[in-house]
Amino acid sequence: MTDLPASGSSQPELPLDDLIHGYLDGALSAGQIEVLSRLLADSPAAARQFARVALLHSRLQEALSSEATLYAPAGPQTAGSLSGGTLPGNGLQEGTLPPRSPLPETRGLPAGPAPQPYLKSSAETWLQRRPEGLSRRAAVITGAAGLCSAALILPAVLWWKATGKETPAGSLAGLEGDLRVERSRAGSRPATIGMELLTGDRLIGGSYDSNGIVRLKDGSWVTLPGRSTVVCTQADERGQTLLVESGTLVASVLPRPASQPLLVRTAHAVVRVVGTEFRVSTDEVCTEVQVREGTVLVTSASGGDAVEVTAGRVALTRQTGEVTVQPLEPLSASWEEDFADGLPAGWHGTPVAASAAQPLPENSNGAIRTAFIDRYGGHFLAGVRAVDDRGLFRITRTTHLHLTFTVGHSRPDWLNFFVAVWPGGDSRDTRNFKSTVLSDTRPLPGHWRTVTVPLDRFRSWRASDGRAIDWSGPPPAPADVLTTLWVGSPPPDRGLIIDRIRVTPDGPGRVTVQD
Amino acid sequence: MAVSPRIHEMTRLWTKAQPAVAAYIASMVIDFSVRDDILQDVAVAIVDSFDEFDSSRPFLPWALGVARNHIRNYLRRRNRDRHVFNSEAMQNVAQAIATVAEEESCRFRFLQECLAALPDHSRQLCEMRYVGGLLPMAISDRTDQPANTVAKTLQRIRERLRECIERRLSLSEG
Repeated sequence: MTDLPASGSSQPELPLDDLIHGYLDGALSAGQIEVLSRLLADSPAAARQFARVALLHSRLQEALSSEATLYAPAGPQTAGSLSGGTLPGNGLQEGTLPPRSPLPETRGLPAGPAPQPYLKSSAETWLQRRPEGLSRRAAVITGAAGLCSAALILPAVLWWKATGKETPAGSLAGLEGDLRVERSRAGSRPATIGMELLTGDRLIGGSYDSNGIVRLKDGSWVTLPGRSTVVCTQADERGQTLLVESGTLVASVLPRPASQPLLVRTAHAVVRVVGTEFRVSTDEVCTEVQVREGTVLVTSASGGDAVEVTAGRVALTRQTGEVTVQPLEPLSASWEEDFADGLPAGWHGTPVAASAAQPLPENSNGAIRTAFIDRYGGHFLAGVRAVDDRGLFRITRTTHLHLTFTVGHSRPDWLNFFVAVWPGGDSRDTRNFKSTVLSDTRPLPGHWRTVTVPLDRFRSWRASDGRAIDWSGPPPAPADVLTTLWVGSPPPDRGLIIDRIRVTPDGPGRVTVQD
Repeated sequence: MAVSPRIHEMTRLWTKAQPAVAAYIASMVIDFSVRDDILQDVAVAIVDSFDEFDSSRPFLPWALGVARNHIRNYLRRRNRDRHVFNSEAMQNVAQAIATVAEEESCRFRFLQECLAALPDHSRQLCEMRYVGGLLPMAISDRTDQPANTVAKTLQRIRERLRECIERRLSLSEG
């Protein structure tokens, strides 16, 4: 609580903080507003305090509004991360689950590897379908979540108009969900596969699960997952420039002459592709560039010298224009979630609070219950997909997964664990693995049990004939990065509740249970 | 086909200034949909009058000045002057936002993480306030809590978010 400034001409009834917050929530009387008004007029310190709260207030509205689709009460499958493919079946009794009809992200895509099964973001889905010929190119992921709202669009349009006539920029190679193309003379219209895109066209993703895939003129690929808006402002002999107005851009860029670079611009930074692999994450205030291999050049949008960022380092560009470079911290080999704050970001499931009807283990901080997911074949699942582009944890040769759980009213014959990983030191081609815990580990209803599973018991998925699911591939390798983790059982609902999931870099080397 | 340097400059400056201008408008008109309308008008006015901007001076105070005029016009039209700040207060807040926005620019990159860590009931309250645009009185009708309790809870949530952001910032800098 901040004390009132001494310079106030009259002593208000409420402390300054209360007045400020109450004012922003429209909860002050006219008299209290007058008091606050006098304070702000008389005291620069009070005005600064007001400014800090007002900035947070406005940012909160923008942040929450941008997530409105994700959190809309639209049934049990609102988790936006569930945007890909079919859920793999158990393989023991259940067989292959009904595939999700038809996979939208496959429409119009170039021929590539067989469809991977599940748990991929749109970007991941697309990345793993990259054509073989693009093994040595830059992969750029640019997210500009949140603000960059309609007000930013106007100057961007004027900027493009100043460049003159439209020129071909590429064509739409695939789409999913609500994607529109806005063209100044033709207005806005739904995007269609194969349509030619011109400079100045604005591609607008209308929902969290929409996705657009563009093939640029030189054969490079760009995708716009989610509610993203991107304009190609230049495509000529000097190269190509993409302006990310909001959301996320993923690009896989073929090597090109230094005189014809691909530039990805955000509000704060200009990323120049110089032929290597790196990742860029941007929000409305900062841009982070992580370099995994080779070198990239980062320049502040406000100008200045280009900063060379080499492998294993990260550059942060702030609104002030400052670019700082530091070592990229390695991802931890340990990980834990105890649901102390309800449903964490990136998770799918239903939070469970302790009650007489549903007691939780001693020292429990919270729990989540599996939830029905219709579009993935009707499993009851709880799980998480990493909300950032680093992943959840790094896999070692002896990584173990520890799940503390109970079941409600009946015992499932098995539990399925599904994980997705990024192979270490490679591109972002997601691979999927499964491990099944059989009936000897299932607890009686209401009893809590911890099951420990070494990650080397997981097996990767292969498509033997393009459809059948065969979980007989090798396990995840050391240095792979785990990005997605799911636990569940098939119908009927067994009331599976998870109290805690831990990952340790070592363990007993076999499946164990502990009550 | 070169981009006009002037338009390029305007785009860059506006992109950087826009969050602070939005915050300033939101603090003066309370209603987020009105904020967005005014913000749009301000953006157009910035484009129309950019030639008048003296590029040797900082852009944000100028943009906030444009915003202040639009807010005044709006309030005059709506005849709601008695519910808002006096000119000196508006001016001081604009100056403070111009200063604080720069200082705080990078803090908000932690906002999403901190929002994600909120308990469910806090999250729901935030969504009613910030997505639904409901004021405490209207939230009170839907939650059976007194309006002043709702307002106090919203304040505590914002304070908790602020603490979370500070904590994460210090960790990232440590």
